[in-house]
Amino acid sequence: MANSKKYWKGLEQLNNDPKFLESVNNEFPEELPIDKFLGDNETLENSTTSRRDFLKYLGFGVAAASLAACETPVTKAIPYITKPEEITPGKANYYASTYFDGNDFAPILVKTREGRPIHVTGNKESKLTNGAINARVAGSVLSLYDNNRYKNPMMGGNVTDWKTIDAAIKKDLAAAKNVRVLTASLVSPSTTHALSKSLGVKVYDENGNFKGIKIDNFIQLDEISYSGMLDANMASFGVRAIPTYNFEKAKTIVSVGADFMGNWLDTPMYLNDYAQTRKPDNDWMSKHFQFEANMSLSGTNADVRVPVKPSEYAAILANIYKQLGGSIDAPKTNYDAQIANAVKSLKAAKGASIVVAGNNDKDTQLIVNGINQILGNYGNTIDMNTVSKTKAGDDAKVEALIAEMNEGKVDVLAIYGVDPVFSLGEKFKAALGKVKSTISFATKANETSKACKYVCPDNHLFESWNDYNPVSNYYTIQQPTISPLFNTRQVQESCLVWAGNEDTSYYNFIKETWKNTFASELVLTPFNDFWNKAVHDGEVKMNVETGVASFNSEALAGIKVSNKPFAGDFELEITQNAAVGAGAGADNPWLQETPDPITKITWDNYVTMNPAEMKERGYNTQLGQESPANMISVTANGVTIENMPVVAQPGQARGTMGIAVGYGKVVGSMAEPTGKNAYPLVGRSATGAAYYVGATIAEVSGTYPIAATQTHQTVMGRSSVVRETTLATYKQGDKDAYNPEHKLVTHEKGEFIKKNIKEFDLWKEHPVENIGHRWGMSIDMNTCIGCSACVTACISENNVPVVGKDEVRRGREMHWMRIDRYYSTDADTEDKSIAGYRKMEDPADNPQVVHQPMMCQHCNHAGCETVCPVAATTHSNEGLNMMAYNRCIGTRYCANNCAYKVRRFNWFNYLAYDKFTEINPAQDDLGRMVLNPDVVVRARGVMEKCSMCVQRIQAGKLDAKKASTKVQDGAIQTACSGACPTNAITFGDLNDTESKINGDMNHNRAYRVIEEVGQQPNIYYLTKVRNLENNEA
Amino acid sequence: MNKITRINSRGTLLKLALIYFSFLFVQVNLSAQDGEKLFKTSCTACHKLTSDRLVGPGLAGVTEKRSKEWLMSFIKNSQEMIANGDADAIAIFEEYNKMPMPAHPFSDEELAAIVDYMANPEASSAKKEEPKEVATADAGGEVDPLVLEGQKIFKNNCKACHSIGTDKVVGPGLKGISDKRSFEWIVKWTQNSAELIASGDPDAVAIFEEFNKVPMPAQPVSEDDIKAILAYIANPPVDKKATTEEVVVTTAEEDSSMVTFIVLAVICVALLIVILMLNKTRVMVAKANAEKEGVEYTGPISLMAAFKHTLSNNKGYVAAVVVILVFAGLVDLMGGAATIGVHQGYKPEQPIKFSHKIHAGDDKIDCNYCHSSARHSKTSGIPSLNLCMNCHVYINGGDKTFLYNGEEYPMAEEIQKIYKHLDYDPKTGKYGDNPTPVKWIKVHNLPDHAFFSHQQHVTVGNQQCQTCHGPVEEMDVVEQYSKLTMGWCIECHKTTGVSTKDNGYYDEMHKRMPEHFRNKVLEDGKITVDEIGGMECAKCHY
Repeated sequence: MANSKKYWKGLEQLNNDPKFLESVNNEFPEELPIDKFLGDNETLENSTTSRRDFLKYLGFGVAAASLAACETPVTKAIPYITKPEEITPGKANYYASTYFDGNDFAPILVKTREGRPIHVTGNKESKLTNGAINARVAGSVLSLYDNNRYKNPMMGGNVTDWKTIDAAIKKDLAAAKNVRVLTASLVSPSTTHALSKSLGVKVYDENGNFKGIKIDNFIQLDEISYSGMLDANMASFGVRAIPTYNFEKAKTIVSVGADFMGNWLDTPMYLNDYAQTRKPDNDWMSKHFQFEANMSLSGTNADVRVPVKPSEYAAILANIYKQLGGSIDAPKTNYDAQIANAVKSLKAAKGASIVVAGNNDKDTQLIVNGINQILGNYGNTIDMNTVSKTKAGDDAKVEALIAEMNEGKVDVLAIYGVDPVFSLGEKFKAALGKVKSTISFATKANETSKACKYVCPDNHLFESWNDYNPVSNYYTIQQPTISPLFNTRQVQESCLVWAGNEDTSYYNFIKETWKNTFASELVLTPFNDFWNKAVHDGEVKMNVETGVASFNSEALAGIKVSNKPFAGDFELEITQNAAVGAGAGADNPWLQETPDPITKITWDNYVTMNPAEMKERGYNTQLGQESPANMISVTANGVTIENMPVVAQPGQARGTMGIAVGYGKVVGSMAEPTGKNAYPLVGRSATGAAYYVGATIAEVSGTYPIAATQTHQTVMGRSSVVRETTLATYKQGDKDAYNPEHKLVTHEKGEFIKKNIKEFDLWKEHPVENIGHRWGMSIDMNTCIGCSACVTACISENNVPVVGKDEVRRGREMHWMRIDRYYSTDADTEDKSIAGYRKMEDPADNPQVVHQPMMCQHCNHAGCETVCPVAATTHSNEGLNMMAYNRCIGTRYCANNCAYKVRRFNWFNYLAYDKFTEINPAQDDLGRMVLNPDVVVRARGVMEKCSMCVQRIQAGKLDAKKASTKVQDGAIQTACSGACPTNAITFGDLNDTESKINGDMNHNRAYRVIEEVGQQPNIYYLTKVRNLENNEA
Repeated sequence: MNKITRINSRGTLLKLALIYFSFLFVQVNLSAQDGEKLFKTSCTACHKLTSDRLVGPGLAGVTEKRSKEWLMSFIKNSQEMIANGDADAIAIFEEYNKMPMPAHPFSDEELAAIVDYMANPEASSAKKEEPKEVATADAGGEVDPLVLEGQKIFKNNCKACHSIGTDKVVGPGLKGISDKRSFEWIVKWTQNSAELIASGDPDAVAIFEEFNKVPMPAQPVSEDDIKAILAYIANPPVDKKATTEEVVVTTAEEDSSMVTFIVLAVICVALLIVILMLNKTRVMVAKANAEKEGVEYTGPISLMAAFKHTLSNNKGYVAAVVVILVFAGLVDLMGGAATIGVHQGYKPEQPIKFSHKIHAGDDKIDCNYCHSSARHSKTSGIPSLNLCMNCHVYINGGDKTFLYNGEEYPMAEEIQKIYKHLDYDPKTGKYGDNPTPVKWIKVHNLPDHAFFSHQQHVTVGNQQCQTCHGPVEEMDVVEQYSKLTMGWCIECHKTTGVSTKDNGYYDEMHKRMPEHFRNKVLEDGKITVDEIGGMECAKCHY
């Protein structure tokens, strides 16, 4: 899986045995006796094989081979013995379910074909998220078909069966006095109930009668901890919980270090709401301030981004609090102007604003609570009554558990849903050794499960029933979409068995739990109706009155705020990659190959640093095959990570650097992981994990190759690629000011006149406008936040192969869709000298960032079609640029002539070549079950590119024909538009005058990329509008 | 307590309302013709309308034997009748080895329609075939010159927008127009429809509204012309004669080809003799000439030698011929190569000797009964074994035999194979827990990169299964009837009209067509698959 994976033929090679090294240089293992054989006439004559025989065999061999090739293989067709009623071969079924892995929570829709889950998208009917997902959720289906999963229960490292392991565990549990359970946040009421049956603490009254079960011994652990925030809320409101945020009502958003669009708390719950406020055509558009060190997704989408050091976060918040009227000692910062601006905006939007901070620190979060209280946000934009339960970890309790384990007081420790050896490190591993009996429920071998006595592998979440209660009044159901592939058992069922409830299936158990939970709802509805509807919808939302929680302002008293820089060379902010997350994507090649939305780097974690500071230190700031990255060692909290590559991140606050966790995880049979584990750098204490730490660096000689998909930085002032304006300009209503039409100067009747680009045409008109269908897409650059969910969804839908780091470095990634990220530059775009252009390549110190999804533009006058010598790529009368793979001979002229560089060439037979099966376990027989059967797997030597999900278009048209109606707007969704959490991508029929996309096409903000060359794409982009005044930076 | 009762009564009310509404929807008058349809889909698996016994008894004359009410309730739920002690029902039950007839939850109207059909099966089919007979009779006789005149005018003026059937093209189909409207009305409408609409004629306005306010242009036709057109619409001539003649001609051609061959062979032999004789004469003349001049003749003597001599003297011609032959060979080779991977006629032996001839041919089971997913999915689907058991739980073959690939096999043996695969014990009627799937051999194999959808062709395109699969109902062993090559697909897409009638999707597409385009497409009176982009690569390859 890893690219740095090491292979050896034997110990000689591993130990660099000199003899071996010598022999390595010889191509043949020993001298071949060619001369002896051919030079000696006698031997030749004595040999039984004459030249004549040789030719005979050769001739026969060729004839036999060609004869064999002519024979058609017999294909078998095996129907069901008893066909399940709901399955029609060739037709997809969709099931509402839920995704929860301890870090991300999302209601989802699973697409299955012939009983195999093949695609995951958000549940658009969900009242919680409106169908928002992120790249991790979209790519999760691949992990189901992983051959590295546990296939049997394991005891002491050996395969065993369920009966044996059950007996052993029952015995251990019966003898245990002190049972502890370490779990991810307990979001599922039924799971908690089921687990408690065998692992909870049984309570007896004084007469020895059984009274009930308590779960005091359940310790919740969030691998990315929010403990500080929970503690602050406990102090302010008396509730240890995370509130729900209503971003859709927020007119002003101030975030200090919280990347709520990428990795902070319940991202999918916020994305769609946030996007609703970013539409400049609405009555109002939110104003978003972001103070942060690392360039985060939220930072790139903010109207105003201020690069600051993590040590200054608290001080900035204190200043805001003070200026809003709070009483606190606020140290002076260098950002008075920006803070004043933010405060002004906050004051103007009282009760309709949100202030958040990324610190996992109780005091800082108390200040945030104070600010939101002053602004009257509680009860309006922040709901402390309806709380989120997906993050409930308590760092103090975890520390206490480790202490208890070290003392040898824990008899049985069950670990569910977390990998603490990976995230908490050696300290936990050592403590684990002192526990008498350890049980792991991991689905794949990880560092924790390897150290456990019993492994009772849990089903994959697509194989299990479960329920969730992520938010107070909201419940979801997770339903299985496939039978367990291996001999695994749901953790809940395991616990029921150990509790002696062998006969209860967990499914019935959930139903029983629900009968009690929803007793009040069931007065009018029979339970079965209620349950069936819940399973069908995937969710139940109950009406709970929202009140305003009482705020305890005394908690704020006596807080000392300091902005003293952290000790060390740099202030390190530990973060997550958008695709790999806290570790969910570590062994998922789709996610590993999804480029980070900002650095565009795949397959690695790295240190990000400000380019100016890197230049000062003489580091290479370029990315690319020819310019490998420099390496450093990073030391924080007494832990050193060796050989981290350094990458330039424009906009990174000076004096800071960032590293993503989630890498360096050894899962399954991976020999070596990708990247390095950064969890040890996290500061651990009973007051909460610290993700902002001081670090020292040391230079290491040598370089490290980095695989990035985008190596240039800015758009070089080409306004025909990216168009951007301010809200002030946009509201003035002069289209020429922000989205001028392309005009060319021409000479006519002795005069120079400017003519619209549409009047120049080299090609014969393709009759697609206003005739039949004309499929197209519009991409709103205002609501596109660059999250890359679409990229992963596209991989999943269109069977895009994984090529691995090595090939990405050569620019051979196969993604049909990419998101271009452009930085702004402060060079003079009017300077047309070479030096001027050179300068334009460099992004500004604090650049504005634009995310631009880029895929085949389906040009009506496509350059690629004109140059194909075999007419393998042609135009359809529905406006699609089609690709007939079987006709393609791989000249690559089309890729050369494509203005958008979206065509990909198949360099290899990815399915058969070992190099790729090594990096992508999904290319083995099991993994191939994830392939979409409606899309062909392309062969070596052909071109491929976005087909605008033509398989879905065809299916949608067929449905319309069968229903005898026109194709309804929105009925057909491409993979990317379906996955987009903010609905920035709209797919539809441009010729349908009632469609949304027709409106977008004629919108004042609509433009087409590089329109001036006259290729007439069918993809429209809507100019990005930032909520800025014209003089505001 | 009080509360719960109220809720209950509400529930009952709701249920009653539901039942009432469902009756509203079901209450449609069903005719014997619908009865025929129902009978064919639901009953023919076990019953015939003759006196032959299939699974259940033959139903000829059953309506005379039993009352209509009795039949209806028996079809609906025979077991209930048996349980209630109906003497006739019990007798039948006993006679058929206590094998109950499955309950069919039809509505009363449907049951009545089925019974009506059983009582008089000819009535409905006769009704349907009536117009056909008239048409043939007309075709046989002389064609009225008025009709021919009408045909001419219709083709010139009307055909672009109207058909003489019931199909909607741009305007409505005109079949039976004379019965619907008065002659005066038709004349007024044709000569100036806009005026008629403006005058507020309710029929005219209704048509105008129905066709989305697209007015029919005024036509420069006289009353006589309209008479002729109406005559043509009422009695369109059928070219039956022409087809019969054509068949005769082909047979004649086939006969004559043998004669031609013999004649040609005789001519060839004669020519060969002539050439030999000519050569002999030539040598004699040449020798004589040489003798006359006093030299010895050295030229070629035998025919072969003369041939070689000619060849060496005409190298240019030889080269030309060789080149032509080489190219002809190459073309032939390419033709041969194009047949690689074409398995027309592929007829593999299947693990169970399933005869489509018996099921689809003799028993007339609808293809869709077993291959139901053809209507809903891209694949036609191979029926699962539980579907076989719908009938074969009753039909075990007895000691009958059947023909398969020209040989006779006992029926029971093949049906036993189904039981074995299902692990079913016919004696106890119980299923075991070790079923194994049947590994059929796939006959029709399309390459991976070609997307083909059955539902597109069957449900939307209204194509018959036989169009591509051939007369399956006559095949013991199913074979690949068509070539299944891309050329074959395209051939059909070029000529087949799309069934756009009454389909809202195509109506919408039609609206989005500019006039010049529409005229071009409708030149030949139909829209072919090709004309709506059916031959573009990405329609089948993605």
